[in-house]
Amino acid sequence: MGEDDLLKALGRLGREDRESEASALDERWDALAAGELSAEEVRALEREAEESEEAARAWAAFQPLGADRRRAVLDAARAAHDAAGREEAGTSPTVRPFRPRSVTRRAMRWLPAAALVAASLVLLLRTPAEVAPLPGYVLEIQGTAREVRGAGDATPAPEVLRLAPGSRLRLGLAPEVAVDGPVEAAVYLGSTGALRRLEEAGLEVAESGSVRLLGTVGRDLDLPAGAAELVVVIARPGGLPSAAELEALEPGESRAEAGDWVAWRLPVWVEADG
Amino acid sequence: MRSNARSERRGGVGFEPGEVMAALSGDEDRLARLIDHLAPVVQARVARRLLAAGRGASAIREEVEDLTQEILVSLVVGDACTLRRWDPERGLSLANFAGLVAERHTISRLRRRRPQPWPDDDEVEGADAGPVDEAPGPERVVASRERLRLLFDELVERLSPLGRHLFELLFVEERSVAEVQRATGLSADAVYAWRSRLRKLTRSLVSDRMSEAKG
Repeated sequence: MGEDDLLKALGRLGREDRESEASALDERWDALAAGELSAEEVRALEREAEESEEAARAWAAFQPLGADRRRAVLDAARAAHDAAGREEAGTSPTVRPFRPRSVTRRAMRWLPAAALVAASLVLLLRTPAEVAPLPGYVLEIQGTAREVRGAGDATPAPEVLRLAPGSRLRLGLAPEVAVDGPVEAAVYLGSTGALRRLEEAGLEVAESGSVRLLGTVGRDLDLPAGAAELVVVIARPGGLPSAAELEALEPGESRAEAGDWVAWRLPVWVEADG
Repeated sequence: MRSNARSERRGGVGFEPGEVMAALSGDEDRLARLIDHLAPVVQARVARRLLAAGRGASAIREEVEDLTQEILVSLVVGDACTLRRWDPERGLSLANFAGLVAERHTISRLRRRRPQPWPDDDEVEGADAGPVDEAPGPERVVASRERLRLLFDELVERLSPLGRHLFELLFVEERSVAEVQRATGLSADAVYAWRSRLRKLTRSLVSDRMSEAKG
């Protein structure tokens, strides 16, 4: 079987889906949901619904969304903006820096980049109804780092965490409130396009749902010299994606989510030893 | 991915990227318009998926409304909302982007509601009879419509809107790389990279299922 045969078979299935949808539910139903039909057209669909069980189901499904539902979305957006405003005003901080336990010879400092990353990565994780929802998480990074730019690249590269052999890296995912139920986490190293799980990385998951990676480059973290990326994933137990799934994600996105997992991608640059 | 005159008119008018960002950043009037603009598209994609899954007339209305509201919230609420990732330069209209997010979300929800192991071969019409303990390889997946459907849903669930768009263009519409470049603005290398990613992901999903079947 050729490499693309499976994808071609899936493509055929996609075409069949389109054809069967088009024959069963033409665009009048979409127009019904959008409130774009004339009264006469609406009556015609209603008559179909009276005569066919399939059309009756469509009639129920495609009635325009109620104003109360739209208002609920608007209310949720307003509440989120209000909460963000309070955070900016300092009345309800959500970014809780880890406090260094010790000061290494190479002083650790907060990156401006890390602050930006943290600010942009607060998110609400959506999970199945039967599993308690995960709260928002804030990604926090500490390490020996500074901004670097891609060599020879005219456009500014993303802010990169710069590390060297012996650097201590501390990375945390802190939930905004304690998580109800267990959480799993994994960290992957990506270089030359492939991802491998860093089994040796000291990844700790606290009962509160906090996740922390703490290690020394070259000792606890086997990172190759040069450009690479760390991908940190959290999920409910059993929900961690495979490396191949993560490799299939869009390049350049700092965060990705699918189903019940969320991944953060952190570009790093590791200096050569010596 | 639906594309016709009426839906294109519906999806293509009214919102430039700057307006979307303004709506997401707290401009309530714009946000209300954006929600009105997206709601029918999201609802229609949800409805089609639920109808295809055999939902009955008595339950479908509430389910459509619940899911549509949930998806709209994920699209427009919060700093990390999905719509911030929309980039019209990649060839997806705002409506199509939201529609693909809605499909993925709905498929994901449907899949979680029922455990879906690979079906037994003797349940699959037309499948070659093989050893009882034989795990499903790619050939057997293609031979089994039910397995193919499960794989299709899993793939769609895993793909981002851009990834789904590339899958549709490359494998559903069978467009050439040059045509995909024109439709998406991606370089040829990027299109080939996507083709490779889709291959890898599909292989990975089959491999996961094979491991489960063996285990």
